[in-house]
Amino acid sequence: MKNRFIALLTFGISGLAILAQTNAPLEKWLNITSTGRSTIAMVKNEVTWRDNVRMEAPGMKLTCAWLVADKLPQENLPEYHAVATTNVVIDFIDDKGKTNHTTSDRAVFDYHVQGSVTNETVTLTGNPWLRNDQLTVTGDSLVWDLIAKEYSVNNPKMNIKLPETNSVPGQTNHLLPHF
Amino acid sequence: MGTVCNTLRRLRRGVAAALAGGALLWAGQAGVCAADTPVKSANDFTAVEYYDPPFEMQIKSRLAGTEAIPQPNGLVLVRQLKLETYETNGHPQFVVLAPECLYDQLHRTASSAGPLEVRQAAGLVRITGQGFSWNQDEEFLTVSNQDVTEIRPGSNIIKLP
Repeated sequence: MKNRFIALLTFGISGLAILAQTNAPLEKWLNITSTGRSTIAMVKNEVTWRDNVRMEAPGMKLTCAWLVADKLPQENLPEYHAVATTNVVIDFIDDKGKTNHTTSDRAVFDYHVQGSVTNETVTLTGNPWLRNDQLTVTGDSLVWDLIAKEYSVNNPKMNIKLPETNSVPGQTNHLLPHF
Repeated sequence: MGTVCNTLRRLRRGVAAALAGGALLWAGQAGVCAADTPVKSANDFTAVEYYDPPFEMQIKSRLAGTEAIPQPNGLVLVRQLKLETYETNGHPQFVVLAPECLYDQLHRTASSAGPLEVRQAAGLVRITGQGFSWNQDEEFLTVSNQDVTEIRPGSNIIKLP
């Protein structure tokens, strides 16, 4: 826990308000395209997209080389699980148009219900980075909890751009020690 | 009619190919008593695959078309393809629609260079593309080009703003 930085903030502090979700239903479909062959293993209910994979959903854009959805959402069972690998880039765009740019080797999207608890997370591993206009953060892994509207970083290293009013000239970036 | 019976008997193990509407298509193709029935095509073509035991009574996939035209090398050109797959409990999984495809009854594969549309039976996922190949034994579909996947916004899918 000592080495775990939990951003309980609703991201107001760090400018990650993008994850503050609304409960309004999405108007647009989630779209996935790729330039390689995609395969559907129907018995396993699994779809694989290859090469220049792009996924667009409201508020999010993903690119990667390989995406496997090994659990597809269904009408009566909305749980899903998907893994993006190789050069994973995810841009989250908040209501104000602010972009939170992430890069990693791997991203795992998971939504499942355990008892009465709903879990929906995106876990970035493999040199994960998150950058926005206020901070840059990396760590062993970065987990976004889309239900609790918080994220956590294991062994984080951060660069925070201090507001100009509080900044010392020539020291606008402050490298924080490890948490 | 004897042709139909012989054909069905022959295909009983593993694959049952039901040839509705006169059902003559296989004659020449499967080498089953074709000589006296030189039929060129058939309407309402259907080929059904069943699960292995203990679900042998359950349909695994059904490949159907409005028309089936025999081609060289044992292939069959199927028009207005509708391919449906099912789970072992009978629940539908996917539906594949295409204007046409070439069905290889010997290897139980189907392919086409044309467009296709794949729909998850539950209705949330839709995949379109250009060109595909289908392996009936492995229930494996490959979309060759220009695939576009759309996932309908469900109440719990990617709940981002």
